[in-house]
Amino acid sequence: MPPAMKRLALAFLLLLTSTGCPKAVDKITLNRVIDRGRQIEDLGQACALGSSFRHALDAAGTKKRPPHKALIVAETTSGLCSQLDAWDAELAEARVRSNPASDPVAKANAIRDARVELGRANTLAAARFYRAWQHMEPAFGEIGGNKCPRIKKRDEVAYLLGMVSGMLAMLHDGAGGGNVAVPLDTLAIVSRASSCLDDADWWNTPRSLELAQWATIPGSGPEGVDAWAELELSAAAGDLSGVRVARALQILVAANSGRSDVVTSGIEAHVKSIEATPRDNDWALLDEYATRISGQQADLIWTEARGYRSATFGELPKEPEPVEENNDPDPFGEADPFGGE
Amino acid sequence: MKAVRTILIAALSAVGLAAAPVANAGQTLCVYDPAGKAGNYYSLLNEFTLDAGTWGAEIEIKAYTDEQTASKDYQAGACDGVLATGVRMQRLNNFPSTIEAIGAIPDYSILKQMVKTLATSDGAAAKLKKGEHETVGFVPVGAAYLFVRDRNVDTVAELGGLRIATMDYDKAAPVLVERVGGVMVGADLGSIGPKFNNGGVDACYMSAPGYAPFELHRGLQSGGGIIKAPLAQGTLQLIVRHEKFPEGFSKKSRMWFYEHFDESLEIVLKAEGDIPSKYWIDIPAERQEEWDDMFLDVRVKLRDDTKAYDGQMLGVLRSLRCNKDSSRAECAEKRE
Repeated sequence: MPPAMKRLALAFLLLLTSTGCPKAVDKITLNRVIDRGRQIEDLGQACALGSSFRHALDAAGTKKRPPHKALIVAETTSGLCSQLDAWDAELAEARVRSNPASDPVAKANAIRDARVELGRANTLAAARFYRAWQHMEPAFGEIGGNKCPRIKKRDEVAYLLGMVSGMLAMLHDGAGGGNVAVPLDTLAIVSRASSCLDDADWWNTPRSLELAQWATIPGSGPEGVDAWAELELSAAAGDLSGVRVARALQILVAANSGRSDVVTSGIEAHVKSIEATPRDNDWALLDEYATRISGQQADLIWTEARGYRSATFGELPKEPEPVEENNDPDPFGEADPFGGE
Repeated sequence: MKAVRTILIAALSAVGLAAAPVANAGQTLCVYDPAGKAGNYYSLLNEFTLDAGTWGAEIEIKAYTDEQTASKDYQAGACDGVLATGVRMQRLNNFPSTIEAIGAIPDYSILKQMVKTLATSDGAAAKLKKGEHETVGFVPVGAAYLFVRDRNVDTVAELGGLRIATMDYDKAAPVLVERVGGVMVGADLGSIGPKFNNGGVDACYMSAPGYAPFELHRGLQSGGGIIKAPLAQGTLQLIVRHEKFPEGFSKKSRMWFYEHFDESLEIVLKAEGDIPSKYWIDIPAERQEEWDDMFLDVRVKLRDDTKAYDGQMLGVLRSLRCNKDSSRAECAEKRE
């Protein structure tokens, strides 16, 4: 077991012995589990940990007072598992769609079937992210009101994850057919509430969350603010930190809004940033997550264009350059260039 | 030998594919959905493309959360069709957009009847085509209601002097606001919410699915309400360049959207049901007539003066209203 995982397991042992005291569970989760877990870039491990400990964490509190902040973290990371499944299902659907139709009815049925799979995965992801979002008010008080809640430095990461979960809950629920019934004002609330965190501390993620709503609904932001231009500025500033969540959010919002130009330029910028700025190893998990978000969009572009993914992140499919006409004599023509008969 | 056979079969399959009768393959639709790819209308169009594939149309769809850009891209030829609101597309053909005429459709059963007529009538089919454009589908997105910050405003006279947010591109809005003596404040879909919620305007109109995402409860909280008299029926309309699509596509498409009418209406009814009942302002029957008179005046003016409305469509809508309720005052006279 790697040392970081050993420390995580120890932290969870501590957690389990804190039964009945939600504040202690929150504290250990945020101080110890996050502190270690954020350095592990393996998304599969993070999501498995969240999924398996969610119930244990819930049981570590009381029915009336569950450890809300710890549960925000657990639900968000468990949502990640379903999100990874939803991404696979999205690519599977795109693959079926990109196949040439020899039988249009069979193709339509295959796409429908793939969409059912996709819908189910999106619904599960939405449910998990929404549960994380629902812990926000009990954990911090009113979210998105006229005043910011008091957020301790230690708790800021839970607040940030909750914000991201709110946004993801809405996106996945919409894509899944609205089965979870995530309230449609969630994105607007996230937009307002995200400004309660300091951009400089969180790699410009709060600003990008604020801009997501304004970019999605033209005219909904303050007059004179070009939300797409601001999203790019925010993402570029975030790129310099080595934790490129703001870049991933820009790409995610652009993909949902059909701004393929922004998706493409965002992916290219993400790749350049990886080359120019090393990953902040203290937050390797979130930077890896950001890379996966961008990578998913790159995979989709490839699959829609060619029917398969590219093994290299960031390389986008291009039209082959036309071959220049060859005016040289044909060596296999009638005249034998080697002088034979 | 086996490899050669495989290559041959693959080559023959490829020839077979190339020779398959795929008419007008490769159309693109610009699809406006305020929620983008995660939205209900994008999803509906996704479903539409699957059935359209069996009619010989290989349609790709592209999401837009900005309706103006979707409309511009269509007009610039970047796509072969566009899903956008009737009010946005009225300049291309005012016959289909007149389905959204002020106060012309008081309930969803009449709207459904009208959508069915448009899907089945040959006469309507001819009028839905204008130049290179043809309207090939109607999707209900809900009745637009007047949201007021002061719920004591429930008569036409009380609208006088109020600042009303109106879409810049809506030709009907200036006439309506002038008729009630209000003050027009230009807005777009995204800015209506902030303007209403911040008190920048006293009233705005919106259909129920816009209530939650635009957080209009924030503008209603200080004693506001929603006047329960449908101002107009919002629709998303699919408009295409008909020559780009296979023979028979338009009729099948209109029928497809009619058959999915209830599915779309369900979204609207749920959104209306989700609005707390305390916000709805019921108009007593005796006052409803006053609203209907005002609506009629506005429609006639828009038909005769600005030519924004199509007279024949207004006439059919009047017949539907009077068939359902012959006691309506307008049924005794025939102004439409």
